[in-house]
Amino acid sequence: MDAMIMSDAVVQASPGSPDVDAGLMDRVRSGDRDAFADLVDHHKDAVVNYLTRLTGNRDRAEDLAQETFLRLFRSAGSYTEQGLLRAYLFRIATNLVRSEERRERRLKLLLPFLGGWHPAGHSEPTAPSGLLRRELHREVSSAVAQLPLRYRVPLVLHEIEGWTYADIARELGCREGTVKSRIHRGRLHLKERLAPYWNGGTAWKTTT
Amino acid sequence: MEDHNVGPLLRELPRERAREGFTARVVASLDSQPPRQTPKVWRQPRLVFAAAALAAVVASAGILQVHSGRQEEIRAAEARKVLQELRSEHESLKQELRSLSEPPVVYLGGDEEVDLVVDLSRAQNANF
Repeated sequence: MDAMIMSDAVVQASPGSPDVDAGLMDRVRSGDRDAFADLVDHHKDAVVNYLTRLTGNRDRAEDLAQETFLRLFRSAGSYTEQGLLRAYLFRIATNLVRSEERRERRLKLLLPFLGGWHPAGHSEPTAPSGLLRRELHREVSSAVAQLPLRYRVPLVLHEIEGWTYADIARELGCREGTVKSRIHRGRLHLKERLAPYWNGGTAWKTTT
Repeated sequence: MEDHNVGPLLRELPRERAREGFTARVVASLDSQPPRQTPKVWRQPRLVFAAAALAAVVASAGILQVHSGRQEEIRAAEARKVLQELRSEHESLKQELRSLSEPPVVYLGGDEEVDLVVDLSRAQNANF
């Protein structure tokens, strides 16, 4: 079952045809907006899904996805086909998340002076609703989004996007052993955070 | 919860899709962005370095060529000067030698109307 799920995930995660993407990028370089729209159509769901998993916030993910494609357009002139376009998009998206989280960390230092400012981010667990599975998904999504980025990215790429360890290592510029280690640590963090829900604990918070 | 149970849990998460109109919004936002700049030559470090190196080589070659040309001109001018000096000195020596080869005329005295001289060239042949 797991193997089937993994293979399905791999198929889903398979990027678009490199030849097609390369042809479209050639046209984008010359300012062809129709070609750019085609590229966006082809990769938007994957990018939005990836960013939703990284951030845990659907609205934020959509904004960041938009910025990701804008940056692709702006950098089209210097883009060279060294790999799959989707990997390049994921790289832009990851860097955007990293930059945003750095900004938020700096702003948090000013929080005592800002009074009442709360950074946009992860939703707090609410009281249990009738659809437990949906609530669980929300908790899992939130837990993933709160992982340190160095664990979050390889975990999402491997478990959700179906990338192999080798692909992730190549993309992140590290060894496969490092990727495996980070994924393992990410899983351990998730275990700790989600344990109350599996053990029937009372980790739910009520909104006031 | 076992470690391997996390994987399926993550893969169960629903795959998110972009909202309707996403592509149109992205394309529309292109107009509000600064114009895409084509990479200028000066932003390519290797090209800049190569161009600078080439310019340096060309400039060096040009400077050397100019410098060697001037040196030759200077040497030629100096040579002409020396030659002229030698010719002048030769002429003066010739004149001096010529004068030495002619017997001298000795002035003995005279007045306003007559000068009394002894032409030694004639005196040599004279029998006293």
